[in-house]
Amino acid sequence: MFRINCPWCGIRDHDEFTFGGELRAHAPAWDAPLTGEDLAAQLFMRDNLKGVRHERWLHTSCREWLRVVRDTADHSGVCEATHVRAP
Amino acid sequence: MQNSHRLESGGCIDRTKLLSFRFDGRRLSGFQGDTLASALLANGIKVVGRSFKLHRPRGITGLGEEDTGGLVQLIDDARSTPNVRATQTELVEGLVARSVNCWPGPRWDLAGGLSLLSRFLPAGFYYKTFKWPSWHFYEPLIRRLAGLGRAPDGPDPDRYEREYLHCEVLVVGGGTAGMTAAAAAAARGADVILVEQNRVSPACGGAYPRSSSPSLRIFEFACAFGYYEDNLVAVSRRARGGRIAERLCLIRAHEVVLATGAIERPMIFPGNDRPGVMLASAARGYLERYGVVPGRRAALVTNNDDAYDTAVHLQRAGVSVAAIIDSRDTPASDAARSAAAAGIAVHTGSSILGTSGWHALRSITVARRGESRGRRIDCDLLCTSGGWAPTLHLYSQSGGKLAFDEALGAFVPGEATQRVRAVGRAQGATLPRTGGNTWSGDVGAWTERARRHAFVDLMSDVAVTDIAVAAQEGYVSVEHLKRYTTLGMSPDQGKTSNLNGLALLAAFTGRSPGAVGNTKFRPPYVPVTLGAFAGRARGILFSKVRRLPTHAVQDESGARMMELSGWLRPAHYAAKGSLSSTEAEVLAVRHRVGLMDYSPIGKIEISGTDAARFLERIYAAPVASLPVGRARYGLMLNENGVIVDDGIVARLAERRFFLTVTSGHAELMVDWLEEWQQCAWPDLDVVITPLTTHLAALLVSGPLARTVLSALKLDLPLDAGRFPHMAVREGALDGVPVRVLRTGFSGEVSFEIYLPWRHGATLWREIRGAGAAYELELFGTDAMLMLRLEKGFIHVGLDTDSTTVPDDIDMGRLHQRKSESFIGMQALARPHSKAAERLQLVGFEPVGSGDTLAEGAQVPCSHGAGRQGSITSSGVSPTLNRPIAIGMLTSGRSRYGEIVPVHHDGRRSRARVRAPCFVDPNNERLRDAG
Repeated sequence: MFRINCPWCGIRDHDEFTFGGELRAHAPAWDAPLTGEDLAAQLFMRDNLKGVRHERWLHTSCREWLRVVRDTADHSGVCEATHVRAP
Repeated sequence: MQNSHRLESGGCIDRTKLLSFRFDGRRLSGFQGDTLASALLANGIKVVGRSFKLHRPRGITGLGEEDTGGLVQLIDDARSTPNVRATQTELVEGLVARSVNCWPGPRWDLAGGLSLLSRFLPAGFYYKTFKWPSWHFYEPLIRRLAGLGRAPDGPDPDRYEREYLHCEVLVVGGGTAGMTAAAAAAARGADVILVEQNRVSPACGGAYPRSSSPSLRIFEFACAFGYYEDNLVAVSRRARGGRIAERLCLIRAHEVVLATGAIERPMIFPGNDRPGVMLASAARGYLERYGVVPGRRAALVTNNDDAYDTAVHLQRAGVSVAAIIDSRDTPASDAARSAAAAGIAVHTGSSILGTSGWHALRSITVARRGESRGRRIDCDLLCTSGGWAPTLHLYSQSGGKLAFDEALGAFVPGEATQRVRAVGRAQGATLPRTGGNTWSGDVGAWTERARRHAFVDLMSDVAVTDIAVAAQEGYVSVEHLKRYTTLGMSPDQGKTSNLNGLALLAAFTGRSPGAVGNTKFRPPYVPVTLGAFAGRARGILFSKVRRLPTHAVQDESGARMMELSGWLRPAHYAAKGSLSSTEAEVLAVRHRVGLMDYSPIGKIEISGTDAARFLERIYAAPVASLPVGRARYGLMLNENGVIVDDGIVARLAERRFFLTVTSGHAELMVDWLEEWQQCAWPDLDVVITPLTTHLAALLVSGPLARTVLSALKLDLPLDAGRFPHMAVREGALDGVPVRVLRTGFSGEVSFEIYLPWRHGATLWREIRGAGAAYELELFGTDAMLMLRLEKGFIHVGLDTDSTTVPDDIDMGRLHQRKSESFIGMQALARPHSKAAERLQLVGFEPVGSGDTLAEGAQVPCSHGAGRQGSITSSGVSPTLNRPIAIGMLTSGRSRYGEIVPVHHDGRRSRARVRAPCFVDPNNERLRDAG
């Protein structure tokens, strides 16, 4: 029941958001030619960190995809979010 | 005797307002201000129900939510509410309550003999005993014997709501500490909400201004039951009267003050579950709040000084106090003095060896430490006080740490992780110290009989022996203990038993209670009505269905409406003549013309300078090469190369496209497109506009479709030369802008007419009028599914599954022509996606009996176990007048002509494999010359 600070809408309850998985720092380009192993790693393997990580969340109300920093152990630092499309 | 146990004066009740009520058929009376529990006690009723497992008599032991014996079934007209706490039920005129888990009544219960078998029903009994032949063999009988109230049969007649509130300070608990904190915060100008699960205390004294400050809101009968992140507190607000029975109230507070008080622990001794044994705080509460004396002759068993006060109060109210049994050797001198002054005998260093009485308490046996024979003391009320424990359920749920306080023998608040603090008795500092354990002597040396009769959890019949057995069998974690013995798993959630249970586990395993720790506190603190969680999301509001633009005129056309992927749609229309309705509709489309409201189809417009580039990446089919005015069938894949949707992509202009997607995926596919646009390709200039509920869609299909449409005022040429198959045109119909798509999902010449939603019904009537001369037939979704089955066209998600790639449905050529990258491309390049033994779409014709193949039927492997395919869509083709089917089969395209076994539900048949298209395989009817 934590909250996320949407850059468009302000602080909102987490049930307005949809989780979009973890964001990896060095993900390959969407159409990079990948070997079988690399493709499997990209499609199926997740780090599933305990601790601070970057994630994608969709604000379902304003339809904006966000980059959220969250500590998966205690949700600290979860409030601030930026547009995922920002570089 | 009515109100036999009521004092002449005192208490917060109004003696001028007599209320009559019924308990187990007996007509009784109480006063305004009573709870059901206080009214039962005032009438001398000791036995209220029977226990969960052993059917032992149970009576009121507490004053509020900590009570272990006062569960009743409340009956009110259509309502029958099980397991209601009598201590928290306000008495109202005409209230009807019944006892639970007993027949015919709580005093004479047929299953009461079960308690004689208690020695054969130790912890883990069910796990150990009912293994052969299987638990399910015994389950019906045990389910009938165990349990509490009965769930009601009918629908819940009450209404529930959910509300969201915000405040600066939320105070939980309306006792002295809570009211003081709330008043102070409000005086500072803070926006304050106070929630109290009963009435704010003292309700009768008027000591507190009800709500002197406009910034202070007080909610009574509001129980905070859950504490979540970011200071979100869930509160159940029970309404009294009014249209809403209960509200689930979610309060977000900047700061939370927990004035939740403390709960007294009972002492543990043999026979401590006999009705008449009650918490000392409860006895005193009934006396002070309701003017009720729960017994005539009382005794008190304790390990602290606090209980002495209660003895003196009872004595003053006219109850004769026979004895105080103190497990300590020396009580504090002032406590001893006050008892002596009141003339109460104090037995120090003593404990209770047993209790006696048929149903309810008649006497106790008291002995000094080390003595094996005690002496009998007659009493009908035994007050028990093992010290106090702060009520920290919410504090713990908030993430706050708990610390074990040795002097208190209980947990106190430790470090907080949110903006919350516990005040008053919940904070622990002001609670009376205890003199050690809540049981006497070395519990390890108790006799087996004593252990079996000394109860820890009265609601779920967990005795000292069960905890000993669990410890002996290695269940040394408190969480395991709970699950193995069911300690604390009853409706009271162990409010008085958890701490005693873990202290016993500590004693049996040679640890300190602090080292054993507490079980995790989980919401809800008290049971909450399921209806409150559901709120208004019931019946029609549970799952909302959408209606067609022609909904109002479907009825008069004889439509049989069905819900299909969130839409109420005609499955078929009324039958005519000898044919079934679906047969007639299919044949009309094949031979003449049919009309369907196609509006649920997903519609998306894509515009922008990069629209073509964007869609080239989205579709596993070439899009950028599509000329303006033309349309193409396309598949959308996910990153695994699996088909997630199919539909038409039509180019309206150089930078403007119109897509149709499966109706069930209309919203999902918009989400999908937006996700890729925002997360992967923010540099592309693309605008995505969902149009599904903006545009109505009417489908006119059949050889005469063009003839019917020519009669309308449509400013578009319809001849095949100027409007060929798979083309799109924008125009106007009687001044209304329309876009028309020529497609052929049915296998016949088809025009999909898209126009603003509000014009849908008008156009429907016009087409019906124009089609009357050609015997135009309305057709529903059943006919549409059959028409496409005859053509071997797939329905994504029905004929395909989460492994199907384009080549599996023979659509690999669509992406093999592409030069640009698209989603799923890498996965399709993997050898696995091209393997020859993949499941491929084929047609099936039954051979032999000729019965229709069942949808879902399996094609087993000829040798050994496993399957080589399945039937995904099947039916009797009206056009061919024989059963047909399509499905997936390993290497299917190279096996046409082969006969394979088909198994379904124990029935075996055979089918011939063939191409999936049954009607017009070369699509000549679609490319008509007209």
